[in-house]
Amino acid sequence: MLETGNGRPAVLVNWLGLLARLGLVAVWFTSGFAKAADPLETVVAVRAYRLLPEGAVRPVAAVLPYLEIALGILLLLGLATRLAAVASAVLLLVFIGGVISAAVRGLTIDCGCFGGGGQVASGQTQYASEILRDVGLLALAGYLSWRPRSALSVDGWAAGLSRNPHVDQA
Amino acid sequence: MAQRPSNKSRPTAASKPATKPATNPVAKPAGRPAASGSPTTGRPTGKAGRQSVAAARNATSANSNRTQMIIGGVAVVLIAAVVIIGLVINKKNSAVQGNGYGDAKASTATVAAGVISVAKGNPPITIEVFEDGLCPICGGFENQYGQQIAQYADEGKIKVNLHMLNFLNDRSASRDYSTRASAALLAVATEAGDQPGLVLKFHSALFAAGTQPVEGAAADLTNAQLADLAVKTGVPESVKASIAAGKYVAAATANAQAATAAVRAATGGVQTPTVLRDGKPLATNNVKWLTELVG
Repeated sequence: MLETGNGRPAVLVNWLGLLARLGLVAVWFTSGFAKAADPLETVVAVRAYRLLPEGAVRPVAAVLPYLEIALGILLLLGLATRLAAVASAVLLLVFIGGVISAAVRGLTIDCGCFGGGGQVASGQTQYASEILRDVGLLALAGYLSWRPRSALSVDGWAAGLSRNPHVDQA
Repeated sequence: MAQRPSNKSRPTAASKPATKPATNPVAKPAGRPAASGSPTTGRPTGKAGRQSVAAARNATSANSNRTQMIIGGVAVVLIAAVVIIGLVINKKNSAVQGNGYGDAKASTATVAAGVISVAKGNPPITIEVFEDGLCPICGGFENQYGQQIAQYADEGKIKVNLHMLNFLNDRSASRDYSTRASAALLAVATEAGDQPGLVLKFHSALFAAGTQPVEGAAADLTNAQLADLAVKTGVPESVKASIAAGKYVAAATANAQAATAAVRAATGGVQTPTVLRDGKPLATNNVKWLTELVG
């Protein structure tokens, strides 16, 4: 077994990393494709937060699904894992901030995280569970930002290549 | 044996059993500086050995820096590509259909059993459109498909049955906007439905961006304002009084109940906009749903 710098077996770290990646992939793909499939609903969901100036609502609603899908692809491949994890963490922080802001201002909206979005009846908001879920995902992204190494990743394959620079010399 | 610089201390030859072979167990490729290997680690020993290890480490870290930059570059390109492709898809899917046709000009409306039917002649295809006057997605739907619906109705290709729900009443400032908007439309359809294009034109006006009230906002449109809006879209003054007085509010409430029950029966839920054909919902998130329907 390889040893990592702090003595924790590398195999465990690799598989933890893979689990974190897959967890985030599942969320980004579900969320991204749901938003992409219903662009009208996504515009409504973004607008309902009343955080962006009206001119920014449509562009943000247009880009957001594909940004999530792109991060999902990177994490699925394990390509630039630390970059994707940090970007995921930033995006999650933005979402968490948005929901907290909505709750504090007394808006009654659906977060629109997996499609849906817009107004809900008061008393039907689920801010606490939405925030908790995003915090859990933030923990995954944070872990991966700190320890981006994972099994079955393009990063790992590329690192293996660069460790053996003279492989072809006879 | 001298200790080589490393993270871990390595056993020296002295601590190993003497049975270890003294010869170099690791074959070296030709062309390398001659360096024998340590019997314990197989690494090159001696000064030439330290130089070759250091050179290999530098080459490795230079390679891995370069690899990381390449990976970072590929990642950025991938993100940009996905976002650009996505924007192109999004633009295609959000395109206003039948853009340039303008308002309905030829179709007329009748009211039967609480349903407003708009058509010209006897079209082969009938669609049931379920909307709520306050629903923002219906507003987006009307913006995207309103002109195309008007055109196909005018051309006698489709008959449009309008069902106005009111389940969003509570989200309006006046707590009954959806019902009153439906009542205004019912007034126009009942009293002026024979005027070509008028009902669809007023229907679109109700959902126009900037006119349609916002959910949860502090204000919506009063009956008087709805009446003014109607006149602005060409509705005769005689209907204005009916709208301002809320003459059709009770009927609109009953119609909304029937419409809610109908959409729930057909789809299992209450969601707007919903478009049914022959009792089955159409996939209106396909931007070409109406184009393909008419064929």
